Amino acid sequence: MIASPGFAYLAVTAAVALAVVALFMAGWLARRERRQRRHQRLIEAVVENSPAVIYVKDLAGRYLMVNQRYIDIFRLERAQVIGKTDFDFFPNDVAAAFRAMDERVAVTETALTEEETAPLDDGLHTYVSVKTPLRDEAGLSYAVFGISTDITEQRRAEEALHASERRNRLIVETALDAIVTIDHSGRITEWSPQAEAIFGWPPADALGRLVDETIMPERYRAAHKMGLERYLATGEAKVLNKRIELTALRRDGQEFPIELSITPIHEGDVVSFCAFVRDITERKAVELRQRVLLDELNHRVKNSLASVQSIALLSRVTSPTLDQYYESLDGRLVALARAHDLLTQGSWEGASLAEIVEGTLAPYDDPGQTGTRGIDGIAITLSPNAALTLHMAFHELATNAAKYGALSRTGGRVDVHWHETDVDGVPVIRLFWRETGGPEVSPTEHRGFGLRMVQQGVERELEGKLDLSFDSAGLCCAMSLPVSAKVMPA
Amino acid sequence: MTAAGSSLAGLRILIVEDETLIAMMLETLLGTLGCRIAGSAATVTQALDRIVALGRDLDAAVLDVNLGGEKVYPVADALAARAVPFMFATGYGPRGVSERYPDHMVIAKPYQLPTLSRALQSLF
Repeated sequence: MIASPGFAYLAVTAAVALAVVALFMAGWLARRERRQRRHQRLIEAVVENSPAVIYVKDLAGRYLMVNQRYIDIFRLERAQVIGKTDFDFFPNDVAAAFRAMDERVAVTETALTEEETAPLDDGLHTYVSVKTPLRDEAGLSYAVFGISTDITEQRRAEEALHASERRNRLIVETALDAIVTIDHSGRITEWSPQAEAIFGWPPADALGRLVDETIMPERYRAAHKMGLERYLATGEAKVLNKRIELTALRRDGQEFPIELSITPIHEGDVVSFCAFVRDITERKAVELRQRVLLDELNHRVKNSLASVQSIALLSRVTSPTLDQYYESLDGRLVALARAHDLLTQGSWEGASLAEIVEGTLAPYDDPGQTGTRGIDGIAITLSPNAALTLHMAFHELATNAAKYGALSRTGGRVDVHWHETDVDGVPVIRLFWRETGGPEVSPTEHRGFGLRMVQQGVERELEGKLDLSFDSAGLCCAMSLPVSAKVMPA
Repeated sequence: MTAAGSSLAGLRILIVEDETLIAMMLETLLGTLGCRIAGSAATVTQALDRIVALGRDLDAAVLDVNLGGEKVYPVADALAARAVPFMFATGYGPRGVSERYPDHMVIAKPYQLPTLSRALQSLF
């Protein structure tokens, strides 16, 4: 074969071209391989350094690949893991749960996202796992690829938040104070069960309503609106962040006193107001009762002192000597104190006539004698003033009897009896005080303060009649006391 | 004791007081001042009857405020209508009458003779 120059040229050209192509191809292949290696390294770097756990398992659950994170958190060697299944490292139930999800992914041939739990050194951790099937060139699944992200911290934070919300809700719901929140326009946005109890509006009806039209008497509504507008415009507030007492309105139209404190809540540009409201009807009633009681006590003390003053003045008029003055003053003050005792026992609502008569005569019991007195009558309740007056009156009668009358000598006796009767259609209590067995008495000895007191008490205060008769047997005192609120048969 | 009351001598005074002891003391004190007792009532009804019966023979009145639970104001109104001067005497003090006669003369129980005397003089 002789090579012609034309052929040789062609051959050289072809060879050169081939060489060029080969060189080009070699270069291209080398570049492609470098690129692929770089790409591979990049992927490896991403996978290895990912904070998520990344793994590939074959369809039987054997690990084909795990990333560094996996190795780190489960404290295993990579060589220990590859070719093994979860059942080799985890408790059965944990491994079974992993396997179940892997199988669901393999069977459905779709990517799934689920939560999984894995035990770590510091306890159980929660993961969100995204698992997806890997397919070969023919499109058949041959492995499951998964990325699991630890959400334990977020979950704990969420749970803490929920717990805190639950706690706050519980506080709001069980608080003795009603808790009412309104938005910047004055509409109710929160309405605790206690608010329903206090104001009578169920939450469903209250929420969304204007607060002033719901719980404020009409006369306060304009001021509320102005205050709200002023605060929103200028930040100036008169009622915020302090305890105030107001009159509120119940759904049934009834007004009642409340105590409340309002706190503004700023969230970004949005302002709302939270109020703690307490129904203080009870407290106000107690305060009023206390004031009335104190006033009443003061009144009684002053009146008692005035009575003492009166006794001191009037006793002086009829006491010739200082000793006699002291004696009568002393006796009258003790009688006044006894009357107060009897009234206090009956809560100052009244006292029994029988107890008063008994009490005023008891000090003059003659120890050697029985039957120095006889007391008999129907049950009568006396008003406080009537009780005081009659107690003092019987004290005067008893003292006089002891000084000048039946009780001044042995064998003397006082009988007191009373009954209800009728005088011209008016019910009247007739009472007789009869002394017997005493010395003969004359009217003059009795015209002192004592009988004046008896007479004024019966005739002026109790609007009754008094008849005094003196005979050889002793004093007889007859009283007619009209039945009234002052003198009531029980 | 009587010097302070000399200008009050002969005045006819109505006493309205439910407690007998205090009414008796007031009678004695007014007697010391030279006054005469035009009447002594323990209830609103008694007092109103007495005011009608006395007509013009009444110069002034001393009124207890609480008459066994009953307020004395109808008596005060009747006196005011007749232009009869009166004063209150009460254990509650001035607060006791603020509801109806806020600026009226009030003496607080227990009171002394000079207080009673000055208060009565201030009525004329």
